[in-house]
Amino acid sequence: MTSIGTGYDLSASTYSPDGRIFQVEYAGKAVENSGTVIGLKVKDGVILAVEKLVHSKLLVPEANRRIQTIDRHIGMATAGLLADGRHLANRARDEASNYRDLYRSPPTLQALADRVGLYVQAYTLYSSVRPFGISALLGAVDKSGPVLYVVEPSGVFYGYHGAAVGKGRQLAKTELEKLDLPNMTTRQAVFEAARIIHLVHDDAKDKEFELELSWIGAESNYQHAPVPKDLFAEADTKAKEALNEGMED
Amino acid sequence: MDHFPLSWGRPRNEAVDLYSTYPVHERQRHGQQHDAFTQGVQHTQQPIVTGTSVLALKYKDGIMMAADCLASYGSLARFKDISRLHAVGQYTLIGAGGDMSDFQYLQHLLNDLMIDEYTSDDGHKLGPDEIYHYLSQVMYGRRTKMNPLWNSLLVGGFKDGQSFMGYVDLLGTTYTASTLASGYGAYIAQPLLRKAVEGRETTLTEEEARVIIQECMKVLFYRDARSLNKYQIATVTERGVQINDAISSETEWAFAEKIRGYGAQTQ
Amino acid sequence: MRISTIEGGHSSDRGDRSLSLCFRSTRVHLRGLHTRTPVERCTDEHHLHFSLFSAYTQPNRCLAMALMQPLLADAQLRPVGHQFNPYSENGGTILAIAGADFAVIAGDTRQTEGYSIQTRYAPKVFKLTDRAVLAVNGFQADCSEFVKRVLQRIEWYRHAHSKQMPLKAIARMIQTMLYGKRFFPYYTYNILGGIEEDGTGAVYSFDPVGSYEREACRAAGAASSLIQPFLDNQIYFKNQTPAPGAAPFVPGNLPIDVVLPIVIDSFTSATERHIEVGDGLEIFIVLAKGRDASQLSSLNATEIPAADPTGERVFVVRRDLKKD
Repeated sequence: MTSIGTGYDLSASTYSPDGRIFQVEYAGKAVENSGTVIGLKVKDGVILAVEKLVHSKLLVPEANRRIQTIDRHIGMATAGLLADGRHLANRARDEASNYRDLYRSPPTLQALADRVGLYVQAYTLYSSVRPFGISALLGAVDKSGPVLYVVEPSGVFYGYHGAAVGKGRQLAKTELEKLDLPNMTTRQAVFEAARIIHLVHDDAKDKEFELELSWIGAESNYQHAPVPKDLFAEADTKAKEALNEGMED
Repeated sequence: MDHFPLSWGRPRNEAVDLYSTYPVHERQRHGQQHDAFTQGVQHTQQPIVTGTSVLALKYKDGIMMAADCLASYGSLARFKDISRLHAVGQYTLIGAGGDMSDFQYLQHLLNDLMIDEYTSDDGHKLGPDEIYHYLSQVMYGRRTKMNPLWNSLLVGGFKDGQSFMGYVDLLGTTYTASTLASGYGAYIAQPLLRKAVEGRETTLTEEEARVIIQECMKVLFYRDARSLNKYQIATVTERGVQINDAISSETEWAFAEKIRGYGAQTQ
Repeated sequence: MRISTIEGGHSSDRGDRSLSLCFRSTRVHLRGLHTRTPVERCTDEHHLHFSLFSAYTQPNRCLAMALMQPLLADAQLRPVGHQFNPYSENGGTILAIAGADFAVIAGDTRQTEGYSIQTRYAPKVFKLTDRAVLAVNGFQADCSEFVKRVLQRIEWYRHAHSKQMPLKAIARMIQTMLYGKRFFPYYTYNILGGIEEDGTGAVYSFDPVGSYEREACRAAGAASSLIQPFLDNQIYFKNQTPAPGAAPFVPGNLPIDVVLPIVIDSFTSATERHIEVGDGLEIFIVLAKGRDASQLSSLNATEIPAADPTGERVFVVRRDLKKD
């Protein structure tokens, strides 16, 4: 942390002499410490999966969801500060609604990610605000087919076949690279997503976590929806079995 | 000829057409100055492309609604393949008469509403009564701004074992009943519907309901000059909303040959 | 001579007319305001504008209109068009009668527009609190909006003061709410009935812009002109003289078993003579705290559960009226 004490890290509106904005980089740290979030863009759909770390047994199950719906066909999963994620989701909903009002058609994810990116970037310009402490995975099936984007705290966004952010991103990315994503069905990808989240979870450091799974594909009528309970249970069980087998090896 | 020199204007002033070179509808009135500011914001004063009656009734399994496929431009049958029945979510159906562009705006509004509801992800789904109340507030709000949405709307639905039917129009007037008819249908079809349905709402089968609706649509086609013999029937039941393909009724016009005018002029 | 046709609206006096929207005569003015009237005028012998229709029927009016030229000068400058009429009238009738320790508030359930019956059951009488019942009549959309707002304000009052709003407070509130829309009135006739804080039965009646008074009885709505004179006679004893030596009549003291038949007869009679009245009758009865309810048993009255079961009680009687 060479930045600490230099005075260049106090404001998002000040560059360091070597051209960095430390507040944005610190925002990135907030993301790195979060539970893992992955997204898979496959042949006919998109899967979002979250390792939601549960810090207390007293929390109501399925509360504080980190996967949210933006438009009928668009989902967002966030890693980082939960409240920032909820704020950004609300903004994304407004943008999607505004797009519909303007163009009388459902927004493409490209257009939405562009607008969300601009919004996030605006928070890197002023001393009076703090950049978003989240990376947002945006998934959709739009007129161009399945799409997956990641919007980072800096406001940049890239399209991906498979994406992972948060604590376990390195391992998750390695696992994602092994998969033949473009030829995989949405249903198969649900199992892979569940497996990867279970795999990257670090039992030693974090005790409890809740798996969140959502999809957009033919089986969900091309709407963003939580993976149905029975399929979720099946994927969850399979993932745990795979993990146990892996340990025995 | 306008003999008041001040209103003659300059030569070839577009606002003065002394020699009637413009067709009547484009012609400025004499002495009338055109000032966009004095006219201010324009509100809907009359419907343009219009749909006619919508009918609805309650039956054993839910509700049934019908509307023809015509959108008229005045007396011109302008669009003959439009749908005036519109599903909102799984439980609700609306049928619209009046201005079709206002109806399209309402469809958009309801679509936005349903997306808001969907994205809020709270497990709650809007029922027909809630959508009806929302629509009523929109309609009443617009009439209060003196900028009405020029429609009469029927809302029908079925949720949690309960059927629902309501009416709302450009004034925000609302009511519910077991038979509803808007527009010309209020005069022609409503008496037929009441006679056939009142008191039988819980026993009428879908087939019987369909016969009643078809009969009413046929009578309306005979009597309503702004109607079309091509109409859709939709139902809302436990199975959800079903809007069927357009159908026609068998008609018989042979009697028209014998009519030689009315009143004293019968031969 | 060239003949052309124009049509115009009396737009010049629109502003004045809308200001004259006032209580009892609202309806007349609204109709006058929004009906499109053909304007005929003569400018000079060479140039004659007139409405074809009127010219055929009343050619002489053209001359008369010429005399009104200054009045119409402004009208001809405006574009021709319908003015949207934001009001309608939905028939039905309501009434309320106060007794010493009760109040009766009733309304039919028919809703009409023009000659059409829109529905046979549209309630016009609403329970507001354990001791207040409001009947509204006039333009249905305004009525339901108004009742909704009154109920909202009454709920806010309860949250703020931990008690139900007293009847006279509701009455004053209704007046401010109505007058608040003095220049775009709710086209509603309100009658509020219930029990005052001193335990007496009371009826308050309102005009659409909020002027109000406490009375012993009042009828409003489509058949008010049929029912009010009847009530004047039966409740206020107008045109009646006490038997020689008998005590003078005191309005507002009739027993409930006299009042209820008067209510029912009022509506059955109005149903016979007025096309906008009928289908169903809803009679709300508010009884003062501790008052015996046995006289209602023969009417098949159902009690509406009260927030405070030891206080005032509200009953409702539903009856059929003729549907023709």
